[in-house]
Amino acid sequence: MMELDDLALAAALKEDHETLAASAPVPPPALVFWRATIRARADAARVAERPITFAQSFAATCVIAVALMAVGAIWNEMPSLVTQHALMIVLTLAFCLLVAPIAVFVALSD
Amino acid sequence: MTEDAFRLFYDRTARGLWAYLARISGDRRQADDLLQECYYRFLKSSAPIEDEAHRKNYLFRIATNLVLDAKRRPRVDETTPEHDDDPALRAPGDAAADAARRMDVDRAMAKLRPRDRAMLWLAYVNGSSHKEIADTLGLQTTSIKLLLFRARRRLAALLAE
Repeated sequence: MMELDDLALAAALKEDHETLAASAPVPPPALVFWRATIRARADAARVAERPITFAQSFAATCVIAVALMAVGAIWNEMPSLVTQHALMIVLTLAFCLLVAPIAVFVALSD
Repeated sequence: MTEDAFRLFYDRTARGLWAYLARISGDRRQADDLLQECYYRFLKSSAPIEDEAHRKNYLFRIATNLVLDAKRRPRVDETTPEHDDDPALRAPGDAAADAARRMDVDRAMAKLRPRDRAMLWLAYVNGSSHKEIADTLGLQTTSIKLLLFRARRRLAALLAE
């Protein structure tokens, strides 16, 4: 009796499988392979970029730390330095303001 | 794997794999999404493949893990069953009876746990051995016989309702 039930069960499942498989909306293999290739490349690029991003973050942190140390070292002489080199400071700031948008544009464009 | 080798393998397995995904997940749309993911992971993998049967089992193991992982995550867009628009259900005579029987299997399978569905499908549709089922589902080979017996009994009871 159990054996008969097993056979009926197997037949029902196989029939179910055949119906589902016949109506399966599977994409063409070339498309699946192409998508997988593109995704694998993107994943590889992401993995390769990780150390670069880390190095950039580390460098930026170092620059900020050095700048803060430099400011701290000349903090007491700051008023006299600003008075003496006012024109140079203004020109440097203006140059930075001019160049910064261009630098951002170049950095973000491909 | 070369594209030509992949094409041959895909032609042999894609429809069966989609049916497996659709039945185990109980969601055809999810099966569409997971099919691509299965083959992506399969192609990306560098696991040593012994033969064609091992390759197929490996693909189904990926599919099983993907479905079980998806089941653990709550879905945002819960899908409704897609049986009502099945044209076979509207057909007269034998076609309608066949469709009703398929729907019984569909509903009964939906009430089983995903692991039980996978086990029954692998055993009865794919004809996998106990060892292959154990490998695919990450279970002990010795426990498959009992688990399969229980799953089979549950499905038989649900079909008899």
